Amino acid sequence: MKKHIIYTLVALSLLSNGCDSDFLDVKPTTLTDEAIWKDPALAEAAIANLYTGIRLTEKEASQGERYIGFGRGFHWAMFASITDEAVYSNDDQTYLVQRGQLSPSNFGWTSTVWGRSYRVIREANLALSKITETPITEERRAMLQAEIRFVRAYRYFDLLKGFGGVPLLGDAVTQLTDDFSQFYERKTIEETVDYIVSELDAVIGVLPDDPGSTWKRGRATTPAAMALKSRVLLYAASPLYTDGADDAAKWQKAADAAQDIIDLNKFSLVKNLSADPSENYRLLFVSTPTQEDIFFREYTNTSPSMAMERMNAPNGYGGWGGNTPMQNLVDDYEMENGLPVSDPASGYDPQNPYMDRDPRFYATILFNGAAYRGRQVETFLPSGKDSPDGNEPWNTSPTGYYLRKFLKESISLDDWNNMGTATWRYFRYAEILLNYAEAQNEATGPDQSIYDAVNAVRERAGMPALPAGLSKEQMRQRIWNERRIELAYEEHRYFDVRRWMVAEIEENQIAQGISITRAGNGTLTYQLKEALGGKKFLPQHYWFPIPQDEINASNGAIEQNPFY
Amino acid sequence: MMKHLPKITKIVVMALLVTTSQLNVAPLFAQAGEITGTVRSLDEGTPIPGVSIFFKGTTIGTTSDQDGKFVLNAPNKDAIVVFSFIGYKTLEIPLNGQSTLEVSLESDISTLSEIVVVGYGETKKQSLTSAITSVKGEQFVKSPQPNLSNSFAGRVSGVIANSAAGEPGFDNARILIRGQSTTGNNSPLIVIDGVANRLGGLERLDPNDIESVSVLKDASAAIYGAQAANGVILITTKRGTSSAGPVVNFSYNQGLARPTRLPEMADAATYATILNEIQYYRSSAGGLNQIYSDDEIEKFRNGSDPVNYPNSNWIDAVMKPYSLLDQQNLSIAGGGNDAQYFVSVGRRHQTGIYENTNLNFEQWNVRSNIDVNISKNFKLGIDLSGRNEDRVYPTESAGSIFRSAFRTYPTLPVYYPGNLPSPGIEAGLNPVVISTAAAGSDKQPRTVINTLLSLDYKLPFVAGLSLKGFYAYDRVFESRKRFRTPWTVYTLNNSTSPVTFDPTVRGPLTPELTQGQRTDLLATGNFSINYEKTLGETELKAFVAYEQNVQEANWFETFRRGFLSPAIPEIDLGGSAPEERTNSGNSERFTRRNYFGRVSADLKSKYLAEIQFRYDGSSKFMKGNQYGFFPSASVGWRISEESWFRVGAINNLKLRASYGLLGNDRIRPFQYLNTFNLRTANYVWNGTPIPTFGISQLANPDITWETAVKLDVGIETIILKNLTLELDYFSERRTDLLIPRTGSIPMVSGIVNEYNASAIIPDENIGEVKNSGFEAQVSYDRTIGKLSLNAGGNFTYNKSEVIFIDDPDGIPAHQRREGKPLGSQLLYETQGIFRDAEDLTAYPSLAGNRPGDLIFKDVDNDGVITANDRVRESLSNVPQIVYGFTLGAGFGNFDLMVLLQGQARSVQYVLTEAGEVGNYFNSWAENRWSPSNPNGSYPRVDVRTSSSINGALYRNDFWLYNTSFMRIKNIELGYNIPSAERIRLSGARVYVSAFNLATFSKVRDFDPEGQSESAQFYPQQQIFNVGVNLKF
Repeated sequence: MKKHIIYTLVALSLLSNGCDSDFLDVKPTTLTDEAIWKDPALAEAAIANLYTGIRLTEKEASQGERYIGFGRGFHWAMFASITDEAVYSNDDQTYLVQRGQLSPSNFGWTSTVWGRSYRVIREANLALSKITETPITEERRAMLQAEIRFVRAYRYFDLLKGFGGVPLLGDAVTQLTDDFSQFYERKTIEETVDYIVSELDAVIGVLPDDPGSTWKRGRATTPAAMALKSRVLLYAASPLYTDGADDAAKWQKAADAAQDIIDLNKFSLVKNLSADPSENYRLLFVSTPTQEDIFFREYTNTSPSMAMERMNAPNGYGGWGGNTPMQNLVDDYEMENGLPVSDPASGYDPQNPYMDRDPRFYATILFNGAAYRGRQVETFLPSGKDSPDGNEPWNTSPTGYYLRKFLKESISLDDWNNMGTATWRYFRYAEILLNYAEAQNEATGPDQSIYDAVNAVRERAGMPALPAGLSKEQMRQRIWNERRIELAYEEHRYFDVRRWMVAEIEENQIAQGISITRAGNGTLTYQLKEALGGKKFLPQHYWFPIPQDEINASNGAIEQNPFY
Repeated sequence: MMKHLPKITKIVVMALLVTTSQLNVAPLFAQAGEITGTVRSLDEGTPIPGVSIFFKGTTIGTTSDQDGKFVLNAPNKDAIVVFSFIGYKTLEIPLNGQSTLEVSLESDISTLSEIVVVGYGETKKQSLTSAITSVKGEQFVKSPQPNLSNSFAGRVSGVIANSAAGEPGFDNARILIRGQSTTGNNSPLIVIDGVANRLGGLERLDPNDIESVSVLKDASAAIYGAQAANGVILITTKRGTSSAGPVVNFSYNQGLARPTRLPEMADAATYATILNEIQYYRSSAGGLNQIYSDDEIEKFRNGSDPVNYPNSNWIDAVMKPYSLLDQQNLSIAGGGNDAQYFVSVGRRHQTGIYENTNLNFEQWNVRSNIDVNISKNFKLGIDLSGRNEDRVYPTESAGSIFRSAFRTYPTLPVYYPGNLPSPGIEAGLNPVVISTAAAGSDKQPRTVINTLLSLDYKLPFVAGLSLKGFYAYDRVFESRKRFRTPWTVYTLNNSTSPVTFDPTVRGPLTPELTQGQRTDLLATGNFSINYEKTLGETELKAFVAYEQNVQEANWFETFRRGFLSPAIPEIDLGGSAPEERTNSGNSERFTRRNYFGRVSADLKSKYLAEIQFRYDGSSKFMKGNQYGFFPSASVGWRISEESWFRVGAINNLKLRASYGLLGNDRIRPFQYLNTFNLRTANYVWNGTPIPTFGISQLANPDITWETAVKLDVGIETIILKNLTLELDYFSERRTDLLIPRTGSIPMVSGIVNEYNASAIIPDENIGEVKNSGFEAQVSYDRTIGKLSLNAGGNFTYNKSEVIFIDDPDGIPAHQRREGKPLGSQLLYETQGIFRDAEDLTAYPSLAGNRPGDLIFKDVDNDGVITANDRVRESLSNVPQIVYGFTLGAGFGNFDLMVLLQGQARSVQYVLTEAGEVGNYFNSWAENRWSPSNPNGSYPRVDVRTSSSINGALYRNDFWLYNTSFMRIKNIELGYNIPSAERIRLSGARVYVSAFNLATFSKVRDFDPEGQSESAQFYPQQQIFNVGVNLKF
């Protein structure tokens, strides 16, 4: 019996250990919001996160590829490839936009800005509500609050330019159990603009004027907020935003906002990178920082964007011929003498089309015969190295051109570890000058200040001044073209042709490329070709469609954009 | 311990203790004298310990000891003594005044007395009150193949086992018991030797070590509470017996494997024509020869210039005709009265299917299951098993290699003259290079250690009362060393004469090494109080138990590039610049605490009833929501035992029913917290990358288990002794289904999930899914002279139906998931192809439509094709019907086994990556619509399928394949060599067998079990074996 009792005790003791009462109390191994907002360094890292946004479709940057910022920026397929600037050789949901197939259930990577922006807006609101708990000085808190509000305003601008008037959330931090129907009402364009501008006015002067040791480069500044305000007001005065009403007061407000930045005397056009204006312009986009930069996103080799160099280089160099410029863009570069190629007096020779063009052409576009990475680009047939006869012919350009802007030529195309390190500029001074010129011209007609602004941009580019005595209409056309050339591939064209309400003309042109044939004696023959069949723009495409899932989730309460 | 027991358990425990103590002191009958004796087995004459011996109609009883001996005090001289023991026929002997009894028990070979392992116990088949399928281990040894999970298909009624891929080491089947009921984790709970969630899983167990497999399909699984809703698979490994001398088994098997099915790709001439067509659709003015002239296409066809105009078959180039695999196993089992043992060692080895590959898989496993009888009543079990898997792979995944093989153009040579590999389709990913060690190697060894100490103590002072318990401790060590090295491909340089081939280095610029380690731990302690008693004609069994476990995982990984040489893959030799190094790591911990018990009663072997309960606590939930209660009940009625039942042809007839509540806690932990995650180097300040923190999850403080209510009604019968039939109707209602409200939460709220990343919208207990169906099993055995025959079949039909799943209010009825099976897709319906321009006006079309495009059905009849025309499909890739048929025959020394297996009512969406981005399946290429083939049955080609108007841009049912199939899953022919006494062999058998011998299906281009939408996966294997089994 004694033995049995011992066995029983042994059995019980072996098997009943570990009955402590907090056995189910397991600490999480991820960071909780408690931990974040009580620690100043973590809180600022959470605010820094607001400058980037999550991926919503396969064709957007994921965390490993550095999340997308404002707009789209650097990506495999760039925004340029859903405009009349470029054809993307791998499609990646660009053709559906260029072919007029954009719809609420088929929007590729366009309408994703809806969800992405609202997610950051909510995170910004959460940051605003929590930053009050963070142990920092009141001065620092004020700056952080202003920074959060800047980011939020920029996100609303992304929504505005995509969709028009949108629901405004104020400072609400929504919770799972909320009644979301209070957010289904789309505000008017004017209300949306007013909200963005009032937010920007509130942070201008609170944000620092310059980055410094405690406010690193890459964060919002007062000039960044002023530049955003300039662009918002320029858009807000444009026909698409005013229903065609030509409101001089609105144009004047836009002009004044741009003038405010000019008056800071803080920024200037970069001229010192090379004595050659073309090379100077090319180097601007591979240099950081410059005196022209107002607000930008930097990349480094451990925090790169995409393998942009590899993506866009010609197939003969081992590149993938990505965002290839259209002939339509090439044709809009003036001759070096300041005359458009369509002007018989310009000296343009269709059988020698790349001679004596605007210096910016050579810095933006690679064409047959361009000197590049140790040899000349060969897009001619037969047997051109960068033509369909070249290496990996599926990577050849559908347009006959390749992109040069933004791409660092100093690094090897095999050096994956250093690609995609160029800076994406959200705002640079040249745009502000052109914003001013456009708005002032619309408000008052051509005056000297307008000539000064446009000519400053042209002079830096190595182009002659605009001829005197232009009418308001003529000046408008010159400014529009100047934006197309100076700001090519910088995510302006898509929105410019829409806000000017000329997309039905511009985006319904045939997407053209060039086909070059080399005869035995070396003579080249140039022939236009259709680079992408079915180019089309329909009236609904002035705005992005609101995703069908969103309409469904609101049971139809969120109003779709017209004609979709 | 008691003070932490929840109230209800306390009551049950107390009640039981009170009952047992009362029984202990119950007054005895007047004694008639001491009876002694021995119980032996009739066949072998060996003593049987543990036999339950009692006087009929009384509670007086005992059990036989180690030597089969027993001592009893008889109440009177005419008492009837009942001897009963599992696996033997119950024997009743009238005492008739005897004082010694020498008893021999006849083993019960009929299926009725077969022992079935159930949750935390075992029972006779005839006493079962629930739907449990039990399969003997030897079934799984038939037709050897490397992964146990692939042996379930067709063999186990109610189980769906689909093999998604065949890569050595990554060939696990998706196992589902009676379909799927949740959008979350549908995998059943795996219990090995009584330990739930054993690390290492079932897939790589050696089938030679397996005694039996039981599958709990209904509420009987409720004894596993919160983990049981997806069903439970119980695996029991072999143990030694005291009755037999050492039995040595040795088996050797050599197999040849080849893919079950691979696509045939378009040849070079066809593909060149396709490229011309794509360019034509892009720019029609240029005509149909913008890329290749007819002369060039002819050169692809006639092979006159293999350097410039090759015709490559990339799949043939990458793959060997077959790969090799072999298995060996040696086991010794035996024991005496004090100890019994089963020890085994096994090895299996597989090579990859690629030419010249470094892919190699080798597994060694050892097992030692030892039982020690410390005393007559105290038994200790010590089980140790371990396994080492040496896994070496190419640095590119199988998905990437097959992607390259399917995509790379047939118009590119595989090699240029001199065996110089060409660049492949992009980034130098020539599949014949990246599938070999030329691109480095990826070593992923894994070690699994399972230990189990168990004890069983029969309290001598209370008959029938015993204490049992176990402590199991498992660890898994997985490490990874992936060393990617640059490789060289060659490009054709036509500018020299003769042409030259320029080497280009591809892959990483410098060698790079990823090294990491993961360790997993599972520690489970279990303790139970068990009671068995016969009260008159009622057999009563009960237990209460406590169990707790801890699960932990720790992981880290480090990365270096900038190695100067590919010679030595060691972290120390990697580059030292900050951008050349990264490190990462994490850990998690998870605990459970459970109280459970069961009471079962068997009245006259006629009326059966069972009640189970389980009270489960889990650290995954917030305090206050941590515990859940899961009761179940089942009853059985053996009609054939009723005295009025006199149907001679029917040997057994039983009705049974079970009903119970089960849970599913296989969800992400900590969903009750707001959490943030680190985004490394996400933004740049002052030229320096900084990490940022973003919201990764919003809290749902109310989160709790998914609950399943399961009902099963079954009938079992045996007709004319040879025909066994079992029919079940079952239904399950899964409520509190954990789904995120992604459908009804608008994005404007800012609560938006990221694509392809963990969701910030937490799961909420809001979904509801119904499953119902029926199962049938039949088997027939017959021996006619020298011929023995057995045939069997099983058939399961199961339909899942969503009751609620947060469909947004705004969608049309034909798009709702409610009423459709889980996982069914939303697709446009197609109705042919626009043959010409006329068709384009005859049907509603889309912007950009042209002849050759698919015609979509205007479901809502509004004259235009919009998102509203998409329709929710009524089938998913989980088959609604699965079935298996076995046929076994023996004649003299020969034996034959055939297993047919199949599925029906399932679909799989497959749209390959083709266009300018890759080659086409020939079935499409040959039958495509083109200007010269306006009657083609497939749509026209396009730049890339992923953004084609006929492809992913408008996901449609043209690409939905009917994946019904029937397979000759296994066939085995064996010859038993007549006993060869001289070489001390007691048995020897040689066999030939085949696995996946033939598949009958409408799907031609890929294996119908594939679950990849791109079909880019390592194909399932067809295996031919020869082998020998020796028994000493």
